[in-house]
Amino acid sequence: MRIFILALLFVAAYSPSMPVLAAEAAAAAADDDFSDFDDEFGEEAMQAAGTSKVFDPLRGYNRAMFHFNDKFYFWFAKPLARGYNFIVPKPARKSVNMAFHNLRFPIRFVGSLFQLKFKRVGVETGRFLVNSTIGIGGLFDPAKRWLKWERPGDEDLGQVLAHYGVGDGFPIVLPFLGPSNLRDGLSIVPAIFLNPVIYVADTPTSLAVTTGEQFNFISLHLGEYESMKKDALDPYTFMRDAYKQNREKRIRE
Amino acid sequence: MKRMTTIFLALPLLAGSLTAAEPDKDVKRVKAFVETNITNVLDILKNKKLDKEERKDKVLAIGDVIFDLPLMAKLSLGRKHWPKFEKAERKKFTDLFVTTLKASFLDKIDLITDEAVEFKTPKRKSKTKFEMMTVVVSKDSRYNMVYKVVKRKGKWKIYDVEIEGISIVRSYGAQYSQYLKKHSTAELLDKMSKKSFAQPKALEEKAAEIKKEQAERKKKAK
Repeated sequence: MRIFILALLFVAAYSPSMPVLAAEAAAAAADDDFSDFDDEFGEEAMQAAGTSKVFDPLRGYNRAMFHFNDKFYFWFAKPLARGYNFIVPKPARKSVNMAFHNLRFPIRFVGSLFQLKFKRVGVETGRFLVNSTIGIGGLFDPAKRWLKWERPGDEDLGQVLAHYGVGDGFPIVLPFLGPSNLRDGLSIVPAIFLNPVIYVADTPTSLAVTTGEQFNFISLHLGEYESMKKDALDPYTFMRDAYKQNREKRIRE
Repeated sequence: MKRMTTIFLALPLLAGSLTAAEPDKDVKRVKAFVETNITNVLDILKNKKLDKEERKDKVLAIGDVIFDLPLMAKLSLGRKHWPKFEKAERKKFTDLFVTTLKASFLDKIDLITDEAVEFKTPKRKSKTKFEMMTVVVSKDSRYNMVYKVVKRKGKWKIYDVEIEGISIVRSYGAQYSQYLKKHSTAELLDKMSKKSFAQPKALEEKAAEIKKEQAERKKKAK
């Protein structure tokens, strides 16, 4: 007993903050501010959302690739997009973006169908038919404007895999494309075959078209990455966690 | 301190009795609370009669009232890390968190242009918590924004915003928790102050630049 007390005194003497910390921890445990929000921000909830203890075995490569993408964006894509923005007015770029989105209909169709989301299958098909014809190849969106057929959230093959219980594996940063994970990254391969462009053009042309699509998209979203980067203590983990949270939400929908 | 404890103890009871008696009214109140305030913010942002600084001031004034910023700061550190901070550090952390959040928001103001917002009916999450889903619609995109609202001390407050599933509190929290794995609380505060104070500085510089330009224009006009 005496030894115990002595030991306690010893600990107390050498780390005076220890008992204080313990008391603080107890206070925090009883703190209503936390217990009211445990379902959202407690340890379990954070784990489920993928924001605590992330399994990231490729983190070395990921960070390097993140760095590469970052430089590619600032040194190459952004200046080019600025020039493009200067020449092509925003409404035109938006229309181009919509046309590309319309062209990507097969992947959303298959994605919705395999997840047995039949309402989405219907809305997507209806929108594609109307916008491809009356909307001149998807440049305009009469389906939304006149028929009030809103664009549902985009379904893709990664979400199909998740629907059937495939986990996300671990984070992977893809060259040029940015944060992804093993499941979503692999699902890009079959997705290529759902891109109609490859059936009408040869490989270099298809690549050029896809690059143009991404580039046009970037031109409409300049400033967003910069602003996100400013918010983050560590941009790589911030993007990685944000990607995961966003995917979880889209899979749930 | 004692008074605070009593308030805290009485709070759940009070809120409980209120919400149990009139559940539907609360849903309406939450909806009205979010809708009027967010509409106000959008109106201010789109008001071309105000100059940029005026718009920012007005929007931040609304933000101070509708967000429970100290609570958000506390939640972002969570049960695990909050106790590690001493009293003075907690205050400093809260201040830095609020500065960071405000700077981040101001930075994004310029990205808001032609957006309109659709408001859905709030969902009750617990006795005092609600989630209000909104859809931000612009010409070529729509994204979901969820406002999480809680009733505290008789007032409605927003304690988190989720944009396309990405929660502000959770994202900031993950960053702090990651950083604290290898660094001390003091180091975190230091890093935050360097990061967040860099932003207002840039904003100030920009504002000064604009003012200078305006002054020069006036001179030329004379």
